[in-house]
Amino acid sequence: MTQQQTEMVTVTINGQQVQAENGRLLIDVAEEMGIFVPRFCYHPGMKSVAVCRMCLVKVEGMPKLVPSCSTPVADGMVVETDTPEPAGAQEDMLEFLLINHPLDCPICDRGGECPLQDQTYAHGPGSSRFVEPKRTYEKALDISQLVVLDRERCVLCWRCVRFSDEVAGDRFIQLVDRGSGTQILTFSDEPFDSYFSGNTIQICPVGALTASTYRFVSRPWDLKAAPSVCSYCSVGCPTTNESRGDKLVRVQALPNENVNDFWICDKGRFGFHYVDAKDRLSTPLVRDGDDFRSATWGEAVAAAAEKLGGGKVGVIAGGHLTTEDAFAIQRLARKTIKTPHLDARIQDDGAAYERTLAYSGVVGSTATINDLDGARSIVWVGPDPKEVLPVLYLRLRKAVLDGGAKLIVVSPRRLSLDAFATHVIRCEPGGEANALSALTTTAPVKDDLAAPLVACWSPANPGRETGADLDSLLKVAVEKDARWLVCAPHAGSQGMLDMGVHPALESGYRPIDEPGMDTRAMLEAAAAGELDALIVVGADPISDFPNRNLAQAAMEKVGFSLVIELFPTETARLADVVLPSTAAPEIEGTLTNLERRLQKLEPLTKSPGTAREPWRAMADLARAMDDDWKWTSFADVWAAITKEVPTHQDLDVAALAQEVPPSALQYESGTEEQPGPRGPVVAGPGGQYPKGHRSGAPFKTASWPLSWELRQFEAKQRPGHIPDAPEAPEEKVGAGADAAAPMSGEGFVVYAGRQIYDEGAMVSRSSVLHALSKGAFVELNDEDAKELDVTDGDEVTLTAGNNEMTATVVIADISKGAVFVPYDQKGLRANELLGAGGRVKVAKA
Amino acid sequence: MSVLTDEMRSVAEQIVAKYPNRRSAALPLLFLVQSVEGHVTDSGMRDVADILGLTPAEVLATGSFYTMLKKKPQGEYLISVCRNISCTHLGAHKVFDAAREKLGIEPGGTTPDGRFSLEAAECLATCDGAPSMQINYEDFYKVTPSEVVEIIDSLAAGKDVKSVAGETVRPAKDIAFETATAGLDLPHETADTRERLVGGESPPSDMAPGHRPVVPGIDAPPAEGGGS
Repeated sequence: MTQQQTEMVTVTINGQQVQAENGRLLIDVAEEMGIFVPRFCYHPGMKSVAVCRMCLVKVEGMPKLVPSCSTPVADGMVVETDTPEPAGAQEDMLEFLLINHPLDCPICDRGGECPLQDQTYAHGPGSSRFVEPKRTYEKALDISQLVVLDRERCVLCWRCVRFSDEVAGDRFIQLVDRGSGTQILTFSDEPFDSYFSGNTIQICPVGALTASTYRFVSRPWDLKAAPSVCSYCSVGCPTTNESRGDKLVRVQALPNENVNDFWICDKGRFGFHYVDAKDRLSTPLVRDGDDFRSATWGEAVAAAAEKLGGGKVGVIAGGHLTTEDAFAIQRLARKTIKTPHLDARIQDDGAAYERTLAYSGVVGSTATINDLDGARSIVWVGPDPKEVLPVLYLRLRKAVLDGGAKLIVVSPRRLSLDAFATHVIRCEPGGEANALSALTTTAPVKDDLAAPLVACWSPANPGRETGADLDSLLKVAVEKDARWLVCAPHAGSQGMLDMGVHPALESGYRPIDEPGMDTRAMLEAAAAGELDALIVVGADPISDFPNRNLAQAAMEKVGFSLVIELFPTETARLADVVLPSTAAPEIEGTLTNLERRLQKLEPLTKSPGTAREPWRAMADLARAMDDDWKWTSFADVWAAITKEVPTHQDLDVAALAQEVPPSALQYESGTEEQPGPRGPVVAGPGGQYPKGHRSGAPFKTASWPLSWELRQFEAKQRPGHIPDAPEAPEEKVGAGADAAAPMSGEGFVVYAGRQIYDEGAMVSRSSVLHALSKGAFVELNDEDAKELDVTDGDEVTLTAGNNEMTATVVIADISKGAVFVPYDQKGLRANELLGAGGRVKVAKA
Repeated sequence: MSVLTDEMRSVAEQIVAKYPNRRSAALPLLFLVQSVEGHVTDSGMRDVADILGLTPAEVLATGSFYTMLKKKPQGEYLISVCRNISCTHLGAHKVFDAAREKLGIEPGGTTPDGRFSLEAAECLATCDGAPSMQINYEDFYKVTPSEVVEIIDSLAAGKDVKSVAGETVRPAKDIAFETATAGLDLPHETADTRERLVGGESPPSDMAPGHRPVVPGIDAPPAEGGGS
């Protein structure tokens, strides 16, 4: 958004004069003044439809009352929202809505946080003249594993339908039987199969859509809440975690216009049951022959410290750890153990994030997610964002469909982005670099590469990353004066890079003269018996590293291994010492997202047993090795970070703290303090909607230079210097990497990628989501399928080396000669196939 | 299971080609699937969604608004007797009762042989012809109870029945096909054309009561007559 040429007009609402941007919606302007106009259908994240008629107000000079959600302000407008005429209309509307609403609040999950309930108290008639029987429907339809529908409660506000259409783009839920029998419904036996379906529950203004995981679980006043950040992918959506007693029962989106607008994906919303998993580690374990025995924390730390003192030690960290953990891990490795061998790239083995350093001075993104909104063109190279970075997919979709950006997608297979891309460039796996080099010279694509341009990249093909595609993309970006989003995959991945958990980088993106071993080299050394000890923190290389056999051999052959984990993963089972770790809802910490934005997690629930944050484990290990860091709190860690990490030295972590959100995150319900037209009411002004671009407001084109200086948040939350414009590097760090060598040999080239729901340690323990994983499938080009004499739904055998597995064929738009396999699905472990050279033979089963 | 044969799909493409946007062809295509099965089934709606690039839910949302698109099995001949004020004054209820007795079905019902359906209609906008009736949307004016029985007998015997406008009453599927393909250059003998294009017997209905989505493992079987 821009501050350019915004014409201000003077409006009078309820006798108060206010200056407002011309064309903004009356309902928003009133709300910012503290005047809450009741509403059901209006939502700032979507376009206005004005169907519920609840927000009627009186505008002087207009013959009838007007809906404030679709009336733009104009100069000299005089508005009344609480005089008898509009208040009477609001009261009448509520009486109409309540004709068919069952008023089953005592058994409704929404009771206590329900906009209909609250607004009925505040603006309703108090009694009904309606004596006839109410509309009834068959109760509680499970329209998916996650969402339950009670149609009789619905007030037909269209929010869920509009969300599915405008925001998510998967129109599975609709209003059918329109007329007096209008109802919300999905199609016959087709479930509400959206990755974003949970958002409709959160925005439903009544209890018509409820969460299968939260039905009859709690009343809002019994919940305790804490602001947090989703710890799955690197978008880093702010969330509200809510607990009853000490049990985490609900996760909702915390709106933030910089990151997630109002939304989170279903993985973030429903994928929290892992914290209560039965096999969650709660006590340290020390190897005792073929088995483990429980140990005290001190005993286990001492046993580990003894083995880490000398010899060759490697450290592998996972992607779901906090910035503090990352800092502690590199400190233990580099300062205490004095080993240069540490890395946090597992699935994204070898991903060349550091290539951006030479251009911008930072490792990672120079653009923000919000820059997508002002962009005129966007280039995407990488995996399917809908699967791996779901909310970024929503932001890209919005940038294209609302913002008018032209999207250019370079990929070996069809991505969900293709549906609204201007140009789709299909290439061979590994051929992305060449395809990108041709972008700026080939018509018609080159004509659509207009500034402002955002170039997006994320590691796509586990085990085959060479950095060539990123190099190529960065060249395009520099030529076109663009900024880039370089997206490491997981919530903690960027923090790992920032803190220097990288073989070639120290914290603060300082290149190291003599780099240590990366993950692959460490595993190879360990498998060869050349590594004395391996520390694995929050990672499961056996499941995740793109060579399963190598990771397995490494864990078996290494002299000593310490694993810090939440669960007894395959890797942890082979360890010598295991320390229990903490989950995101249990800790105070920070995560750095893909735009390098630091966000704060506040603790809510307790960790089981003696589980501690990995940074505490690191500090304990250091102390046991006679290097006392004297850390006892989050603040202590940050005191050390600001001292030792140059990019973070001016950062005030206290400024990241967020207010505790209301236990029931219902922005439209308002607070109790605000007096209404008829004395004190329950529903007053809403909470703080994030201000800024809303789809409902008239579209404006942002200008590029202003969009760089987007928000005051930036300086506070994004450490490191970001140059005004990217510069061509004098000398590239680690450049000259080989373009992907053409893979020769028999069989198909394996192109692997993650799916939203997989066998990951956290998702697979969140049972509602685990049931949604797609299972073993393989995508084939239709020509290849014909040659193999197979079609959609057939079973085929995939053979690579000694590994053989079966999968169901999906005919897809994928480069000929390549197959796509999901990375980590039940019955199909792509990392077994990838270990055997990246080619696979396919035969009809 | 697909409702539309390959030939029928090529007709569908001709229909789609008449519109600037594919989705605009939703209504004619719904009539096209109705011309095959006599009513719009879930598989029919899936076919339409597939052809137009919509979700089946969107097709349902559109189709469920229109009363001429039938959501449950419908007889070959639909008898609609007006029950509004002018017709009732002039004895429409007697006409209605005669039809009901003759066919042995209640309003909204269909005879077991699938030949006749009966419905009480709202105003047919022909009050001057009260009591007024339509058979497959062809008008009959000043109908007496004995006439309605006579007409039913004629139709049952396969004889031609003509409306007040002199139009022959034709079977519902033919009308649906004609509605769907209006403006296309198809052979005149619609019944033959349709038979040829449909090819073979209609598949059985797969309609669940109230469009109830079934989630395996969670769901009990839907209650009879539940839903909307």
